[in-house]
Amino acid sequence: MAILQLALKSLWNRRFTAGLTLLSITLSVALLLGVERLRNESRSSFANTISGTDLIVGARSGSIQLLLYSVFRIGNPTNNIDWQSYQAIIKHPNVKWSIPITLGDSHHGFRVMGTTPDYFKYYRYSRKRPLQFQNGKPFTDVYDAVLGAEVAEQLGYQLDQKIVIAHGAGKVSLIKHDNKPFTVVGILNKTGTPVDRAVHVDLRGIEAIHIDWQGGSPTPGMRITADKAKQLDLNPKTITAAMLGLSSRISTFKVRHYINNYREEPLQAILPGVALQELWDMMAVAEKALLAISLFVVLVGLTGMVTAILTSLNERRREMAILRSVGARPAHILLLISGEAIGLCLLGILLGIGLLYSLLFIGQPLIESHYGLFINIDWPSTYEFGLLGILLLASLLVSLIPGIRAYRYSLADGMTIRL
Amino acid sequence: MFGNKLSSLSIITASLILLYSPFTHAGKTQHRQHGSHEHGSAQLNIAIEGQRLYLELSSPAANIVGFEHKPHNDKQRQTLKKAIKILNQTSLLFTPSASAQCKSNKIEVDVDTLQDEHDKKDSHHHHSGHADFSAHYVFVCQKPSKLTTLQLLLFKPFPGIEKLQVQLLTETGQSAITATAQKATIKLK
Repeated sequence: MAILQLALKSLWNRRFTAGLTLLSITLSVALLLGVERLRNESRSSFANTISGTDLIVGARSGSIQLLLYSVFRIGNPTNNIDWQSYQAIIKHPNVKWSIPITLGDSHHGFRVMGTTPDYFKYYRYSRKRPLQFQNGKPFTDVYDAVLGAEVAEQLGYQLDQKIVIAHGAGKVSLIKHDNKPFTVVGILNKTGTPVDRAVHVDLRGIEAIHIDWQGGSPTPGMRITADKAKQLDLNPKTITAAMLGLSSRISTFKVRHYINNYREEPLQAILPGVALQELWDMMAVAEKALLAISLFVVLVGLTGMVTAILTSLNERRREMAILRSVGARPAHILLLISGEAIGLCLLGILLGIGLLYSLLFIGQPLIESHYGLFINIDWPSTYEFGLLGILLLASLLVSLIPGIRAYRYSLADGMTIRL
Repeated sequence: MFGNKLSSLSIITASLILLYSPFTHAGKTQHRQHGSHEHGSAQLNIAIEGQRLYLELSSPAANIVGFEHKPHNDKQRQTLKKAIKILNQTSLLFTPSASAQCKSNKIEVDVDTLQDEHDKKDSHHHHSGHADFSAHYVFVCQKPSKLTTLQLLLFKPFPGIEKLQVQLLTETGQSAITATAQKATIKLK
């Protein structure tokens, strides 16, 4: 007991360097666990970009490509789906709901997506969360638009604002559908998914703005006014893709088989969850790099601790000599030094966990409102405990370096210091 | 003159092409498409809903019986018979978590393209040089909440299946796993 008291007092004497060492360990532990958390959360948030949709239907290509253009709005579809094929597919007895989508136009670099009001009813993201309105309501009129949170924020749009849609997906488009402006009727809450960056309009709206077009440009001398266009048949001829919800999970494979073997048009149905996983697996290298970085941070923290203890050894030779003079064996000295290192490390781990959790509790609502990324606060996983265990073991091993050194000093020095 | 000759030549070529095109044979367009087919690899689709565990196994016939044509001799006929028998015995293929108390409820084995002409029900299948086995299984589980794993035993009777591409649909989402004889347990939760 007395030796513990002595050790604590000695540590207190060196509180400044010991404090700094503790800080570096605390920070590296918090970083290691934080990166690990971030890695897991971004993975699950990525996997939750779309949820509750059983199948995505598009032209036959690759599953990742279809996922990229229909959900992430990256890249281009190989082909569109004929409206009649779409109508036939949604008549399949196992299809409960469907969301058709049409892409192709843009507004200030944000994609304009044509869909139906069902989108707001059935689309789910992140563990079956529905889309919520920050302001306004779903579109009802042909020329209504609903903005994703980021669109409204970046362009500073309010409800009832008139917006003009540009033809094509480029940031700079010379052709604008300026004779048929849309009215903002709703702004969605932040979701942390590509929904935030989309302008949603009715499928009929997309059809209406192209109704007097021919061959990719406005037909000269034939302008159909916005009101007149409404009177015409605005059923689309094609759509880009469709999301399907099915009546039973077990029927998913059957419906997929039906769509993949649909005779009238080469179509493809994918399981969005599986495609997301395939996509994530392609990015696994970056994930591993993150883990490697955080492991190096821990290594730096441990090295710092050893350095601090080693430099203090010279100063503490007198202390060791005194301890020896009152009966401490060299083994006691080893225990004292190594014990201090392990104790510091253990304390650093506890403080690191504490720091991480307090940051999580403070940061969770902020991250959710700014980035739409919901971070789950769970107990450390067994994997994380494993990481910490390895860390403790590593600290035990490196603590032997100053420990053995002190042991040898105290053997050589005995009770007097020969410098 | 010269132009005339050329055009008559092209008419002949065109009619030759027409003569040999499949359109003229069938009189109408055929639907041509083939699923992918990779020996050594098979697919298993799993869906869990309520008390039901649904499994859909499909594999190139080569993995199961070692040939992809109608049996030529008695030995091959025996092999096919044995394979069908095994495919009808779920206890040789899958073991769901014991505590979930699952019972196999429905089995359907389809080896249409491999069966002999006389016991083939319908002949709309084209023989493309490849043949597939497919089988559907339904288990009904008394305690679906305890259904956490599915052990795959089918690598043993069918060593031709080296890789099994598993697609899994559960309450929590969709996922894909590759199972092998060494990694034959699938986590369902």
